[in-house]
Amino acid sequence: MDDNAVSNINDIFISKKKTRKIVSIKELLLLLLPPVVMLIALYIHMVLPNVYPPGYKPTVYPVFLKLCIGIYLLFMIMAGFTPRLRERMLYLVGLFTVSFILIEALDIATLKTGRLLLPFVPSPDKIIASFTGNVGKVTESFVASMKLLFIGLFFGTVTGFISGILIGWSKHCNYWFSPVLKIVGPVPSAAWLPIAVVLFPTNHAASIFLIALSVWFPLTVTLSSAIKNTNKSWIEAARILGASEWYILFHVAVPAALPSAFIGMFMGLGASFTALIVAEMLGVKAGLGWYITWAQAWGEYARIFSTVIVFSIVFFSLISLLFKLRDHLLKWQKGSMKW
Amino acid sequence: MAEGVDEMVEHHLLAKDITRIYDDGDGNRVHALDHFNLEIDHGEIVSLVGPSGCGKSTFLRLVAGLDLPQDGRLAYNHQPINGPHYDRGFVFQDSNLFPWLSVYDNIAFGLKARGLYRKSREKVQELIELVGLQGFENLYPYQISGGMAGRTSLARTFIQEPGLILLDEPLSALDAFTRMAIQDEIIKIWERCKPIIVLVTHDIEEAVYLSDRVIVLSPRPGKVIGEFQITLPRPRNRTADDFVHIRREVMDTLHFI
Repeated sequence: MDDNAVSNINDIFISKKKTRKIVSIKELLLLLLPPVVMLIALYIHMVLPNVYPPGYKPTVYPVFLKLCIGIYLLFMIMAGFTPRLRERMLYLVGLFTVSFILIEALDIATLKTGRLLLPFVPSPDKIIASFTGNVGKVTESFVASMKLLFIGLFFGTVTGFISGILIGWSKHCNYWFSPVLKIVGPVPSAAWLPIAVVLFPTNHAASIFLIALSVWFPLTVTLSSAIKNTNKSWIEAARILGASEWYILFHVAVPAALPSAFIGMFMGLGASFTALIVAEMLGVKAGLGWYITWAQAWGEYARIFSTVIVFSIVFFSLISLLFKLRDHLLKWQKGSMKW
Repeated sequence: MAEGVDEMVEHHLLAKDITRIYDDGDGNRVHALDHFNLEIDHGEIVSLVGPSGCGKSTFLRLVAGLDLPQDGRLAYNHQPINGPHYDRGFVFQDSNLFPWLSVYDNIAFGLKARGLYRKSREKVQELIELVGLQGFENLYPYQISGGMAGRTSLARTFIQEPGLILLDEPLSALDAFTRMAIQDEIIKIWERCKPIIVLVTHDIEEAVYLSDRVIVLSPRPGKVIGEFQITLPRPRNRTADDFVHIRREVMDTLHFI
């Protein structure tokens, strides 16, 4: 009798939470909202005449919209089988819908009415076309930027860890190197540019230095201060358990300081994006920052917009990646960090 | 006292005329211990009970080597104590586990730090089973209860097989049932190699249940005002007349402070 009651309750809960395969009408309507908005956008775009600039023939925007509709419907079909994807999509429905309303609004304000003027605000069609028409150049710039960024991040992180540990642990290193840290670190990379060019044999090396510097500083500061402030009772416990000073440093002080180090790395990653753009002023022949500067010189604002979009996707991905790494390495901490 | 302390060594702790004075930050000198004397022989469990500020915890920190006395002689196995050593284990009040290590790795920490893990990794599993942590090995400290953390902390110390173990109110944060269960586990592990145990506690029943000797201290400076030998056979019955009688005697001594 009792067992039955319990299993009945379980059935109710499970059926509500997990095993429900059928999508309700309300959910279906919600999920259909973005493609409907995309269709309306497509319709408006096809029906309204193109007036600005005179004689402009849009080519890629309708294709883009159709592609988006296709991909979205594909995801919807998959969501029919995977409840988790469905949850995710239901969550994002609002953002998708509003995004496409805004894109179409831009289309109307530019191409369809000429309310926003060229060359500063191009139509969605022109922005997308400036990307699709220059995929080769953009990819080349993307690869060049990433190469520079990753080499800089690598050196900055490695030296940041080394100097953070040294300054945090050794009183001598603290005495001699923390003034260097305090003088060199806070100066923004843009200010270092002219000096870096002189100090380094090649512009490439100077660029790497600027990016590395922007990561090195916040990482060293957060790591060294966390190591200096390692919880005393952990050190005492380790000492009593027979750990040597070296063992305590690498198995107590450093792991205990890792959460702070990640905060420094997040700050450093943000600063390194700025440093990358600055570094690409040093006579490089390809790079996203260089591409933007170059496009600006030609008044090609469509390219600037599309490159900025590429930038945001790349940086968003890098930050997400660092969060994933953090959640993996710090899984011993209660709860994960969201952004 | 080097590696591989012989099991035949008769462990011995001697504290003679120990004085430890603190500066409380306002320029006042606090006499935590003043000419304190204590001698403990091999295999004995001794409890220190007394009101807060009687220097019990100070004494444990001195024996652990985490602090040094201003005056007096403190010797373990006839060698002066001048720093921490794994042969003098310490179980902290709040378990003080390493939060970035799993239960298993916390217990294995000492062996790994001393480079003995490869040779004797089966000991870790043995200790885990002894304190009843099977199935929880891979959890992190934030995922386990206070009782499990206490067990992990005990296992982390006992795995080193120290000749002397200092317990600083290890069970004070636990509920009564968990506390009783862990008290039995302490006796169980103690019986394996019979180290000296010095226990600081506020719980008189705990002191009488575990100890061969209960020492009652006065507050500031800590002085011995009562000493009780307990010869009741183990396992002890907490409600037996002679148990209750000793408990009452200890209580009375504390009452007169």
